[in-house]
Amino acid sequence: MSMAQYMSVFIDESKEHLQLMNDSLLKLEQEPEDLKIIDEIFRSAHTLKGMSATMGFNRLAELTHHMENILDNIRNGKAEVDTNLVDVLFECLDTLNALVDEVIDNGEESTGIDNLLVKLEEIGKNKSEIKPVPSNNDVVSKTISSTSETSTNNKITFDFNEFETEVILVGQEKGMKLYLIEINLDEACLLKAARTYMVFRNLEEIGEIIKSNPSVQALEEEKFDNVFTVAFLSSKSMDEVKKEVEDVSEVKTVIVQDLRLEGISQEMKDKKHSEENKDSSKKSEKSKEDNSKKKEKTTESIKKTATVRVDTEKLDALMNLVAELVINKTRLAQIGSEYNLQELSETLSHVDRVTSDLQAVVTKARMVPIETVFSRFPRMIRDLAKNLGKEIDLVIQGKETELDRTVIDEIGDPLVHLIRNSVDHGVEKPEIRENNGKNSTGLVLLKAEHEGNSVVITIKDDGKGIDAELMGRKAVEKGLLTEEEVEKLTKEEKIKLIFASGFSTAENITDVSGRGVGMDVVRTKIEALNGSIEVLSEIGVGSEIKIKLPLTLAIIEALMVKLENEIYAIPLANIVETIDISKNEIKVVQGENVVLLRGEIVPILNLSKLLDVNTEKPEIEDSNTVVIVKVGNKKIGLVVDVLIGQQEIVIKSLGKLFTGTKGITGATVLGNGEVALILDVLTLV
Amino acid sequence: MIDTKNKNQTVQIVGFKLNSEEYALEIENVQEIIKKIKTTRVPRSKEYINGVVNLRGIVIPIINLKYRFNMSNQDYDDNLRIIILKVNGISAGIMVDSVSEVIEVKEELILPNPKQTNAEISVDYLNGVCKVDEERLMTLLNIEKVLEIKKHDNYIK
Repeated sequence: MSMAQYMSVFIDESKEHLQLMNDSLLKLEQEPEDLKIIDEIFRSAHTLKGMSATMGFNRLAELTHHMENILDNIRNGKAEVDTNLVDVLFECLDTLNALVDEVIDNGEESTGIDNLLVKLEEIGKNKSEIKPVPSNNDVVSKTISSTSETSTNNKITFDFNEFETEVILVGQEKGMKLYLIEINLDEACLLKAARTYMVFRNLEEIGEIIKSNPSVQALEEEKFDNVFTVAFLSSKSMDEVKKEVEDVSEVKTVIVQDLRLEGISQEMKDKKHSEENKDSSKKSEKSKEDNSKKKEKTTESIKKTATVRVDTEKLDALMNLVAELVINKTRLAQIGSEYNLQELSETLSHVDRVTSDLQAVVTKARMVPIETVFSRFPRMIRDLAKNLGKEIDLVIQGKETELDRTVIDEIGDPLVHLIRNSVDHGVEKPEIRENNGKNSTGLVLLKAEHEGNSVVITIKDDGKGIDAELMGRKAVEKGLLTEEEVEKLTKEEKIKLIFASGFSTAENITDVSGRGVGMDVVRTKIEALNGSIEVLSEIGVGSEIKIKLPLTLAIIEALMVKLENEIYAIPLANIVETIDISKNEIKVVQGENVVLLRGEIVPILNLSKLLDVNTEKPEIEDSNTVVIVKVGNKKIGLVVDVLIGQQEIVIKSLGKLFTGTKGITGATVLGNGEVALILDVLTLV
Repeated sequence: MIDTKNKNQTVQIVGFKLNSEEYALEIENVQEIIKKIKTTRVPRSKEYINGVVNLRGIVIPIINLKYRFNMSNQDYDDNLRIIILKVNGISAGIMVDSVSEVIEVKEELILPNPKQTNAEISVDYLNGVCKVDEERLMTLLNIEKVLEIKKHDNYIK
């Protein structure tokens, strides 16, 4: 029995449960009265406890156990949910996360939990002072008094361990009933295991199976005659339970008895738990886990698919090789057409399909749902809102939207910044909101969606909005623009000033935001990812920021242009249009060549000259092919010799030796194996 | 025969020629040697960088060593070789006139910090001079200096 094979399951599942607990805790804070949420947290904590105990991670098990106690008190009305309690639970969660991470890293738990245990205990004590827990005798009763309502007088006894008693007691307190069900299968039944499985499945839909006799394992292996009994916890009536079992064919008789389990106090259970010898607790945990696993299977249907973790470097290498394959395929096609080899061309068209599929699969393999970035925001918003004394609901949509790993890695920081801005500068304090006739709780929406070949991420709040006039005044104050310049700007343009460097309008500089490096850094980062960012805002109504990002950074659409015998790629994301401009349309203003394009003055620059291409052509010819590109808010026309056409190119890094080379962002390999450079229009001029 | 009783360690070096002078590099830095290949000029880059080439899907910068060392004759003929190096995770190619041989030399024969050499290049770019035999001196290049790679450069963006 090697633990290693369970380890990855343990890690995956515990991470899942920690995330679940995190989500539920956030919900709980919103709706402290909702006992269902407590149940969810309890269940996750319980499962985690079971798994950790089985794996021998005692700190995880102990901490979750103590969390359970507190949660249990809440469920029983012995304690109330307040911010202090939620804070401590969050702390516990952080520690659990840390512990699991440590287990992942070196297989051992090292973070101490004593501190938290004391805190948890204090909370428990405080509450019991107010509403003392009715502490009972010291007799632990494990037997069941069967208040039989049916004709059978057979007294069936079940020996429950304390995990089971705990579950039963908790269930009973919630008004659930414990039933003892005796199921008698038809003697002619051939597939007994299948029938028992169906009985279990039906029961699990309406309640919780605590225990069976014989054990689940024995039942699965058909190691029983025709009769088995089940201890079953449900809120349904006896008749409903009976009917559910009778629905299974080849069930001969069903006898349901009502049971009541009593006499174990909370305190005793705790005491017993720590004293209980570990073997039996482990065993019982396991059988419970079997049950809960089974439950998951039936309720959620099987969602898991087999996965392997792959180093992104390997994916990059694979991507590289696929690109090489594509290049060589193109070369083969050229040879084929040169020598007029019909058969080769036919084969190549097949290879063509295979390689493009291959490329698609590799690209897909690098995709990660944006959830990995989004999942940290609920907690962040909660903490921020608390610090700032604000009430904020975060709505997340489209978290399953997939993006390339490289984009995912880069997008986190800008998003953190934008969300902080929304919370800090956007959403007002509750009393201000109420005065303005708004709901005291602010709303922040975080949404991701596909739009063609890109992903659009929207961050929207219903806060105070951006004051365009204030923006204009600030720009003058900071010397970014003159008053005359500001006057000429439209409202939208003034709002866009938020992206100018050295801009921070928060009146009180907090540690959350307001260092004045914010939005221009965000914009630069987004543009570096070949994306774009827009802002819409209405005073008093709110702000909306839209970020458009390419699905992947590895492949982009580009326009290939020729300068003498050199070929360059201009990313399509930067291009507005391509036009032909004759010499007499070009005017000289302040020594600069410009053209009036639909009312806008666009400077015209010769790309060959900008890139020092060895050419004898004049800067402006009688007829010029011009590529209009956008640089931030401005447009520039670049004169090129020839437009080759639009093409998907694979971006390759130029490496360390070229850092700081302005105007060039990377390289790509052309069909003939030669390298073409990709222009960076932002730094070109 | 040279006395080999000393616990001398040996190093393998790759010898090459620039104009008529002999230079060498430690073999650990050398990945492969290729013939002349079509390079793409990179505008606005450092002047000693001749351009970039595609080596099996990886884009590699090529350095004009004669320009780098400010030699009087900076021309290469068509028989030039490009030595592809990998130093601290950074790949680059250097242009040389020819590659002569791979030889094993004793470390003690490498004289560090030569005050002056018969080589045309600045001592800043040198790791030492290796006396292969009585008649023959090879100048060992300090490739980190040549490529302007600093210690902290070994992480790649």
